[in-house]
Amino acid sequence: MEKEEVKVKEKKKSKKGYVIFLTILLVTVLVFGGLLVKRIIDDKKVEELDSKTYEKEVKIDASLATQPLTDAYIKGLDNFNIKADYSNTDPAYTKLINKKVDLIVVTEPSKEEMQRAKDAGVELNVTPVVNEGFVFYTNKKNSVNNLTLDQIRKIYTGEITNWKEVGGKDAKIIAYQRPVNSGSQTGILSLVMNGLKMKDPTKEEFIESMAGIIDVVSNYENGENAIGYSYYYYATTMYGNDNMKFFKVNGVAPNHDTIQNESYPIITSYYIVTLKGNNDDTTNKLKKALLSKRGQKIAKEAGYIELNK
Amino acid sequence: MKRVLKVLVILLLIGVLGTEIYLYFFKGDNTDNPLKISNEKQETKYLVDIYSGYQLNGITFKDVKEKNDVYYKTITGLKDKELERKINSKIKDKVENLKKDIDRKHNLVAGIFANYENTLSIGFCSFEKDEYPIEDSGCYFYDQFDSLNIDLTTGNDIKIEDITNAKSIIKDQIVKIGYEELSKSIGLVCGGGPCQNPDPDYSVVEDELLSLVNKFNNNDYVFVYNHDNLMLKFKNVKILSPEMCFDKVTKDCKKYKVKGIEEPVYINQNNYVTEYQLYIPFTNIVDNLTIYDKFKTNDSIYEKDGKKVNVKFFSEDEYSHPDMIESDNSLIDYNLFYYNDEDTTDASLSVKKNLINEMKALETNKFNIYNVFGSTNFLNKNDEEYSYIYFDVRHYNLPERIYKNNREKIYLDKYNKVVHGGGGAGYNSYEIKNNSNPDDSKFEYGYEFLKDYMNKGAFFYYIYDKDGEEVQTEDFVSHDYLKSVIPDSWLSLGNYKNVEAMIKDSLIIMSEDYSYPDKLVIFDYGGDVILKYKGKQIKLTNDNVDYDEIAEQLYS
Repeated sequence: MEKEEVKVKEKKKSKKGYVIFLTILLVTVLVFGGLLVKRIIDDKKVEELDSKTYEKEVKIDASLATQPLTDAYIKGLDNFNIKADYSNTDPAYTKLINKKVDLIVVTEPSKEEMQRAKDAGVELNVTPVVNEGFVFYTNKKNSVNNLTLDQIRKIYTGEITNWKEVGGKDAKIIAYQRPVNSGSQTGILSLVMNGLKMKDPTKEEFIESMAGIIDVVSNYENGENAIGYSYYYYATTMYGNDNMKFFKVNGVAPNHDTIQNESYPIITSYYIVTLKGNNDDTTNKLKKALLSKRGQKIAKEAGYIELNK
Repeated sequence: MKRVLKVLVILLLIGVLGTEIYLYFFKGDNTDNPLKISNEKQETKYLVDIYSGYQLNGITFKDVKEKNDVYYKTITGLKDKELERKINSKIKDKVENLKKDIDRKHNLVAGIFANYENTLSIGFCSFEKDEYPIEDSGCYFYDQFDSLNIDLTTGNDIKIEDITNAKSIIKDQIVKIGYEELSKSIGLVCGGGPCQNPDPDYSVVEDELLSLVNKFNNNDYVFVYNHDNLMLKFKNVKILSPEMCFDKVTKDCKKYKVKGIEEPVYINQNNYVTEYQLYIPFTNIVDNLTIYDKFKTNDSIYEKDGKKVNVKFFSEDEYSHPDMIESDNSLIDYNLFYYNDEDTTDASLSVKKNLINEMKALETNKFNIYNVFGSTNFLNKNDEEYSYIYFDVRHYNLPERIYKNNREKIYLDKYNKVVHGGGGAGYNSYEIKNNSNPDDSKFEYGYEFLKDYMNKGAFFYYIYDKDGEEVQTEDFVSHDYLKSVIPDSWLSLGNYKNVEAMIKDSLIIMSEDYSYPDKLVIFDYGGDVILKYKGKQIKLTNDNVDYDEIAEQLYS
């Protein structure tokens, strides 16, 4: 009798356990199901918002570095009537200030460009549209994989001159520099050097004319002792090959995710720039579209890095 | 049963949960970037073997001319006539499309750039109309603005991916060559010869290069290829190209003092070009080249096969007649330099055969590489013209590993020397030390990278009449004349019993690169005739006696 009672008790216990487990499982399924349905509805709402057609022409310009991005927007946001009138960064700012274009996608305005706007009696409205990283690279044979920001600065001020000082082999560091006023040179000065003066490059370190940085870093006999720099978009579009690698900086490797979530320490952006007080509805809607999920998806597909969510 | 049902329900719910988790977290934005070229190598089965030659297509071309406005060619000679019609239709359709974009002041001219290994590369050019026949216009490699590249086995278009086994290889070349060329276009400005731009702005180079690479990634370019180059043309670009102001000094022209030029120079630093051409030598991408092999077929597709060109990367009418002859353990890099088409005689074939036999005397049982450079001169004897063909031969004796590792380098070295080495003239020059024998001379030219393995140098020459019959030196020169001019004292310098024996052993040398102190040398060069022996010499020509007079007596 007792045995039977025990059996019944155990049976009841097991049934109870099963019911609890099933309930938890069912609730979890319903929760995730609900989240999934919400996402689908949200996506549909965005699509409906983005599908409205805007007939009014919006004139845009862009930097050379962002023209592929704006080309992708023109193609992907086909509900807008976007007309591209491309020049380059500085002329694009001039055209915006003179109201020849409505919106530009460019690098950050320089002091001169800000002043030019002020002199013209207008104010620039600057909004990041995609993230960008500033990267350092070397030949794959270089045994050093990581540099701190401080070490990078010291390499370029001339304080560190040998790879052994940063954990590599005993070899002179060939720290290539870029031409003055080039995008990459401006980038290293503003994003990395923090006001520190870069050393004068030696003759071999100044890539002026007859050798591209890719050639010397990846193929030149001293390539493994060389370090070069550029923007991530430039580097991955042009310089990616089997002989090169990016340095980690402060332990973080530059890639799409670390630049998007800004865990990579040298981050900048490309920007949508309009004029403050521009109440044109279509231009403002286009700007929203560039920043929308759809716009960010277009940017990613074009090889750029979306903003940090 | 109940238990089974319970298990099934649990499994079902787990499955649903798993799917939801996957869709929510992982499926999301599956946005592969279609614009970035994969760095992964594609197939390897069509990689070019540069040791073999290549086959010209067995087709002939038919000119098609529309007044003096349009000129192009159609093909004939394929076995498959339906395919031939398809290809000709394709060519005609292309011409019709291009005609729409050309104004009345300009014509349309097609040029054939590649016609080998079942592929065809056609370029289209447009020039301002003039009074000359349109077929004389000549659409050259650098002039073309559009193209048609055709696989003759199917009539389909050839794509850039067919040139190499990975598109990224070409992208890397665009970056490498483009960087240098874009920089040069900023840094070198003088039209009459390169001179440094005193105020170059290189800051734009990286951006310009990016714009070219992006166009390449977006397939926004035109390409043609020939036997040794791929040419890419990018339109609607903005490339900084400072230029000198010659005729019209405008507000954009600034005055500069340029090193090496006395007069001030006016340079427009803000000149831009809107089209850009980039040449990628096949020898730069030889490890990834597929265009020579990809469209080959086991059976010929032609009614009559075309001829074979013996060495890759040289055109079929390359004047320097390069050749590579390879057996199991020997590679002969043979090069005979002709001055003009009339020099191509049967003698050259006999010479080659004789030379190769003589070179075999140098052969060892290891691995042999022969570097052979030759040239053709002419001699007159009794109003008949004779060919004087000479060769400089370097023999290298190598272990197998070194031989195999250097074979490709030798082919590429040959290409670079012939194409870039001053028209073949600089190819394989030999530097003579004073009165030294080539066998003993210090090695200066030939294969620098094989100098440690050089075994012997040898000099050969042959004299042939117009029928291709060889004539020995002793039968070519006048013994009586030589006996009258050679001093008796020369006999005591060496081991010849008499002057007759010296003459029988003599050499005619028509190049200042060689000397043989131990033999009587009749040095016939540059309008002078000089007899040389054991450091002594007698110049037979002088202000009073010219070359023709001496030659008439010497070669009688």
